[in-house]
Amino acid sequence: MDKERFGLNQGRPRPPYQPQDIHCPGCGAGLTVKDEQAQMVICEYCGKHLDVSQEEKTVLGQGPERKWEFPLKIGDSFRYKGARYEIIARQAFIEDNDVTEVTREYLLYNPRRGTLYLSEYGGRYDLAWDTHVMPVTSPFTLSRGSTMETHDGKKWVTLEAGEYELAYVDGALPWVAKVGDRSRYVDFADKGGTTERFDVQWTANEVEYASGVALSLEQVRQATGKPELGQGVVRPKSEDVVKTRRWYMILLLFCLAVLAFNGIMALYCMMSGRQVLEQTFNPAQLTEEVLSEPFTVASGGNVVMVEAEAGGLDNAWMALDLAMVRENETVVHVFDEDIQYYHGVEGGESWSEGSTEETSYIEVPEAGTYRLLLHAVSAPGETPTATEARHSVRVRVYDNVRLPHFYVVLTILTAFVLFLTFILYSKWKSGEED
Amino acid sequence: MKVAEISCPSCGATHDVHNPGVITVVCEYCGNAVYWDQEKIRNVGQQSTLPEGFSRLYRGATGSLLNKRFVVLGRVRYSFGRGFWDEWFLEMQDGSIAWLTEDNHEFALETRVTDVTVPPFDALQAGTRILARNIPFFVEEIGQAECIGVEGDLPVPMQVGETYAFADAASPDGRYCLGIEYDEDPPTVFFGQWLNYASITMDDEGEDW
Repeated sequence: MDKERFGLNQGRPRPPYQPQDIHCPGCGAGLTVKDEQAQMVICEYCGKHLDVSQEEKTVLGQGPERKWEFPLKIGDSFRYKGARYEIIARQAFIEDNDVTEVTREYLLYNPRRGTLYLSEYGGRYDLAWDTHVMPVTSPFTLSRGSTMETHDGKKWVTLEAGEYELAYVDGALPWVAKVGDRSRYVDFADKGGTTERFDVQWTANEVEYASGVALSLEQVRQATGKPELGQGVVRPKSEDVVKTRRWYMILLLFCLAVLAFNGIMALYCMMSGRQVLEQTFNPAQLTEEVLSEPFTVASGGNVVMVEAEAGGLDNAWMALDLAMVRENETVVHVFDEDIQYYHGVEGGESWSEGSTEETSYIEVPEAGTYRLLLHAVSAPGETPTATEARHSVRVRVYDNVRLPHFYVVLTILTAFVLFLTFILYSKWKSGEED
Repeated sequence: MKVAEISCPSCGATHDVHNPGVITVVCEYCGNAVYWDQEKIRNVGQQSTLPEGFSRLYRGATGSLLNKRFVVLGRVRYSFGRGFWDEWFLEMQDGSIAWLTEDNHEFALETRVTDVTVPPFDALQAGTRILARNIPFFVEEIGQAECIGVEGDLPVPMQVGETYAFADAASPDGRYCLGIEYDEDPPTVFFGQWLNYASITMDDEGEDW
């Protein structure tokens, strides 16, 4: 008797696939186990949860009385990439004890290709399979809309994160599941907008990763050969998180760009113009009334910027009256600048109020040579009135400046819109807008 | 070329060994495991019969692995308490041998390496980082393995009931795996790569299950 010799070209035909037949130790019913890896079987007749990992099958306990509705049955076929899978187990998961928010998961089995997970939530189907690819950063700190990268270089957007509770299970599983088991999860969609998916689940002491694809209802109908699947069921409109996030990003970037443009324009306006006068006036001159050196305004209609800086003001105020006069001493414009600067420490915290500088803009109707007429009084502290100036002032005049007000207002408005968008985005990420 | 001829001490069936790496034969007639060491043949006793038909592989299966022809000569099945995995022993077209690990229909091609130093078993837990050949690995699972079945020809002395501590680790890009068996000191380390479905082509796929 010679033992069969196998060689590279001397194989043997594939032995047939034969599911295992077992008997329920609870009710004696005959059961068929399709997956050799099955660790747990739920008797379809008496509902007992059985441990089938050993030669001797034992009862783990009785399943819950409530039966959950599933649109697909144990034994239904599912075709994927040319191979036929069978549904060998079904699970229902709930969140926050809310039985109206149910995720149904089907375990699909093919003895040559292994297992796939088909899950359905709100009419949205995902197909997943185990992977060893890991996230670059911890996924459990992420919220909706956050991005993440995996070590294979792919980028993902967080769809949702939470904690599942197993509410129902039937069929045969390659692990032992208990109703009430909890696991944290984070689901991701491809940042590029394809149907690719990635998810992470964390049970008591094990982290599992899965890759997958989102399937349309039509694809699931074709895969299961059930054209009636989902008909007559009102499905809530599901949000496309990747698209929503993209719109928020576009809006935030747009606001940032507009903010930057307006800010730069406002700054440009403030820095524009040609300096035509810089002169310092002492307190005695200001108390009396003093005329500045002459300066030239090049064109009629030019805007002139007058900057007054009382650098010596320290917890004090100054009332500065100015007039713009032509060389023939005709007054063309009268204006004033209240300059005050106070600071101190209160309750251990420093504070300050006001500034030692003030700026005015004047539109000059005609070109020509002009002077400034100045008069000021100033006083320290809370002194309400004064009859003389105690501080000096340096005045700078710029010709042909551009008014920054328009851009300043737009900058403030854009900053407000940006802030509002950011608040809405934060609320959307944390799910508060729901 | 025949390198040894073994007669089963239990039932007398003869078995020709062609691969010099094979040192254990499980008699397909009576289920006894026989292994030889320095010309001495020992009968290890009755082994469990392993079911067939639940995997792409089976003893006597032929096909191509990464475009190289192979034949499956034997298998060892280990239990880790909450399930099991299979180690398929392959002879390649150039006469070399290889191990294909199959865990829940996932395959990894592994080779024993001696240039990788690993931490002691007590220092490991899920998530522990191990650097091997400049590739970072993270431990996915640790536990106690028990041999629960052997069949065919094997390059190691093996019998049902043998136990050892083990750790499985994977590189975070999902390409490589590391299998550590704490069966001796230093532990036996296997370096491998995960295989996708298309990496293995069977002469008889049997998709119409």
